[in-house]
Amino acid sequence: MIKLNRLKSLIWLRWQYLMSNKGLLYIGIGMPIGEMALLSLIPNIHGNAGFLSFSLNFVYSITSGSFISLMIGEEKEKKNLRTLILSGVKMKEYTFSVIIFPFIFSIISCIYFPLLFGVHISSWPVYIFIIVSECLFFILANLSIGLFSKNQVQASLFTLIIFIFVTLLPILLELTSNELIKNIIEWSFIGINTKYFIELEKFQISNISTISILLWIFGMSILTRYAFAWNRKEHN
Amino acid sequence: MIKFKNITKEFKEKKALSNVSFNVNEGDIFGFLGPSGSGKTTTINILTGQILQDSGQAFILGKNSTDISSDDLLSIGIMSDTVGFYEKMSLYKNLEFFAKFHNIPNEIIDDLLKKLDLFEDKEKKAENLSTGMKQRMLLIRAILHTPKILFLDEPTSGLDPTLSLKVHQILFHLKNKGVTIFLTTHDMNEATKLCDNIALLYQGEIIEYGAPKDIINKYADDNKVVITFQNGKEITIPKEETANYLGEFITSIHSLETSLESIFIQLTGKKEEK
Repeated sequence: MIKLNRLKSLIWLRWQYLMSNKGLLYIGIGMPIGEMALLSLIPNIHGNAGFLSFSLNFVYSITSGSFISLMIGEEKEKKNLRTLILSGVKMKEYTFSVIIFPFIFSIISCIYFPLLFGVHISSWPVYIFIIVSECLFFILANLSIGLFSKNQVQASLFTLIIFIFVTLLPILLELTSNELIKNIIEWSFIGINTKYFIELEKFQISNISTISILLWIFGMSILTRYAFAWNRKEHN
Repeated sequence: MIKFKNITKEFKEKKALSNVSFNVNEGDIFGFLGPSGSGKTTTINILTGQILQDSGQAFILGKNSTDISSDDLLSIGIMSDTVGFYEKMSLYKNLEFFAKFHNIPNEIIDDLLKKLDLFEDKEKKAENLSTGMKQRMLLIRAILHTPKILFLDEPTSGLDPTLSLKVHQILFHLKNKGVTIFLTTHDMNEATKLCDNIALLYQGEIIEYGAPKDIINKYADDNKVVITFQNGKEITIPKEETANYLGEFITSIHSLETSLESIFIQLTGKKEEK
């Protein structure tokens, strides 16, 4: 059972940690918002749904992604994660405290970007479902990356692989319209986001990419659970 | 409170613990003594469920150490190499988190900081603290919630005698509250002073086990004296041979005092000869 005072103390700790790590705060939150705000000043970009899709991938990979894996990577390197586990912190408590701020900032960014780029969203509930699912997947994936990495450098490397996949594949699809790339994307964790911005108003929530993202989230939840248990033991 | 039964643990080719057994009673201070690399930290790691033993069984709080849950860990305090702290946060905030986590008022932190001469430095970033300060901070964190069992890995190494004394006073205070303390140290005098029972560990094996006084009595040799000459030379001889040296430039003659340190050297020396 999660005890409220313990959860509150962990959220307090996370906030103190972020306030004392301004660099990380800049990378995780300031950079995506700042860069997109600058890019939005380019006139041709205004109203461009493709560019919004690209900027969302940026938020998924960085605010919901590297932000988390870098935090956990550092915590592992400095033995803070081990300390928390040995102090009786439960997996659910730790996970919640780690993901709460990246999740909130990701959702705020994802809601702000359509307004920033002047892109019309035909159905906000569908849009919100997509961004929440994507953020959740990236958060869980990067939680696992952080938990399995030995240090921050290793965590950054793994995150970079996902970042390249997420940013390059949709561009390749747009340039080549290759059927194989299309199938890979459809079944991948960015399928739902990519498909939404291709189909826009015609997008159906009941398509294959919805099932795919839910399966990815489920798979990542299991992996995260295993990764946390793995960290209770020494692996040196 | 703690039972360690026939535990063996190997790391790659090296045997860290070899068929080690001991018990720690509730409310006791138990000293695990030995040089670096003798298996002390491995023992703590097995007892706290951080590593698995190759054979044997370890019990803590009435449970097999492999079954320790997060809730059980709430009753345990650990100060060892395997724990860390948030470097960029202040000393105080590092402790404040654990106070909040265990629902403990901040006054207890203040009190312990004052007792261990850290109060003035409480706003310093943890990364800027000296080794001794960090060590005291980790000690406060481990005892803040008055755990049922406290594991301390070399708690006074690197501390000056005054601070070591303060740490000893805190440990006695905790013992009086019923806290079971498992202490590893290579300071034999500290162990003699603090511990109800000790185990001498050497190359992963327990070479002596019991109350410090009993061990000292077991190895005490009342028939020998130590003669110190003016040139600084010291010899240990049987009492009856003392007369042979009278007339020489002697500074002092005193009976041979047996200490845990001398016993340890004696025992490990014999082991090496074998």
